[in-house]
Amino acid sequence: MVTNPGTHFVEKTPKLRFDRVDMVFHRPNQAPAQILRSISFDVGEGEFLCLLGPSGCGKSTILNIAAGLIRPSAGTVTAGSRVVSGPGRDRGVVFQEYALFPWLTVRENVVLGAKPERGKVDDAKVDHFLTVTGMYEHRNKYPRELSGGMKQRAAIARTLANDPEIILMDEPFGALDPYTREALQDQLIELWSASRKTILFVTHSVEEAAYLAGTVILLKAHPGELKAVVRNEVAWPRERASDELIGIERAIRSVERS
Amino acid sequence: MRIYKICTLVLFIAAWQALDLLNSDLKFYNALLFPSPLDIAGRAAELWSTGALQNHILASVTRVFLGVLIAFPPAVVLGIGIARSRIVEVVFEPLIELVRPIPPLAVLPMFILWFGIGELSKLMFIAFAAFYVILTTVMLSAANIDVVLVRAARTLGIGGWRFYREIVFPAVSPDLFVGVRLGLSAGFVVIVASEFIAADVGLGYMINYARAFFRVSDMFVGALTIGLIGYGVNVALVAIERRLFSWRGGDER
Repeated sequence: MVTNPGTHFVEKTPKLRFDRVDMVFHRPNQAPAQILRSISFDVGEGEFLCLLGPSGCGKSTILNIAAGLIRPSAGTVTAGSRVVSGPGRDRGVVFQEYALFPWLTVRENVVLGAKPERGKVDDAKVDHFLTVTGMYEHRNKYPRELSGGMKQRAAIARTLANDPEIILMDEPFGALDPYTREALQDQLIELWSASRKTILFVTHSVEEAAYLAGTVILLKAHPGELKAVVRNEVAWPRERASDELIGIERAIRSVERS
Repeated sequence: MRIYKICTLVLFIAAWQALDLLNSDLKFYNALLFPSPLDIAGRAAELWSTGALQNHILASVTRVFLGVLIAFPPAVVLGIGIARSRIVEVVFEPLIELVRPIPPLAVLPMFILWFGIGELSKLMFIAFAAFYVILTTVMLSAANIDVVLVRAARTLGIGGWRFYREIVFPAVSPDLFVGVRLGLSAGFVVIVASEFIAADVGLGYMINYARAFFRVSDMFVGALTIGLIGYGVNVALVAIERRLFSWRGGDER
């Protein structure tokens, strides 16, 4: 079932393109802070791309720009064939803080994601995404009754139900314990290989990037700039701590040190 | 903890009664001006048995609730509007903030001229006092909606009226309840003043009437009744609030 995306999904027109994107924050009575400098990269259709870098490298800013939540100071971002000018249903976001609506049950949260512009909510679709994320039995619970891992599963179900073409994930497993994190990583890979969504995934964990990504983009901080691109052609199913993946981690770390 | 609090309250009342007992021999103050708890309780029972007290309570409570009901819709709409829309903020905030520091009592004479000496001026007066309390609560609440939730809504394609209906309104609803609670408290604070002027029923009227006839016990009955009602309404609303908004509150795990 699981195949290597790196070899199968080399596209001419990328699903998401950053073209010389700058981000400068202007603060009163202070020198302007350059957060991002000339960021350019492509994410191909069906690709799983990780942005990896230390805190302060602006990786979350890149994600927010891709989501259309903030506007870049210069440069353009293109999603599909359209220039990004604001948030849109073609780009779903999974936040580190889960961002579930606390007044809604898990199912109601997913329904909100599944709600079309007009017309009725497809109940079968809602139940499908609750099932594939393993949240079906917890569908009637409120977010406060859930563990961190379950909250993030529900948030992923909600994003999937919104049927975006690109999923933007901002350190989604950063607040979870290592066991839960690994379980959710595996679940995400299953969902990704079944749906073939394009994923842009922000992390500061080398292991996570090496395990998940087909392409790892390394960033450096102050200002945030692209440092290197590491291709990860290791075939799925991947085995954690296998020699191949450790080789990828080593390659990443050697670039980080240089 | 609670039992101790009740004990201290009972002790205070007992001490007050003891003071009266001491005074009946020594006469170091005029007992007419400062009745004992038993005097007040006796007077309350009398007023209750004639049905007079119930009438006053009903009149005052109705006025407070109606006044808050009038204040509620504009306070909620403007509170959310000022917090979340720049246009609404620019248009309405300066006027609202300019009028805010005016004590409600200062506008009561105007209200009587505008709305007559009957019920309407009293209701508008209470509404005026409650409006600002509700407005402020809703405004703060709507301004402090978790930015991550707002972002999540936007990325899910929830915009326009749907954003207000499905995100803002439920997000502020628990605080809306708090606003109503504080609005009612404000109403019970100002009700007496409006009933001092040209009323023929109500607890404020009862207090003012008792003053004319030098019935200090009646004044105490009126004042304490307002206190008890205000306290009772608050306790009841807090209980409803907990039940209604159980989704709120910290993580259970």
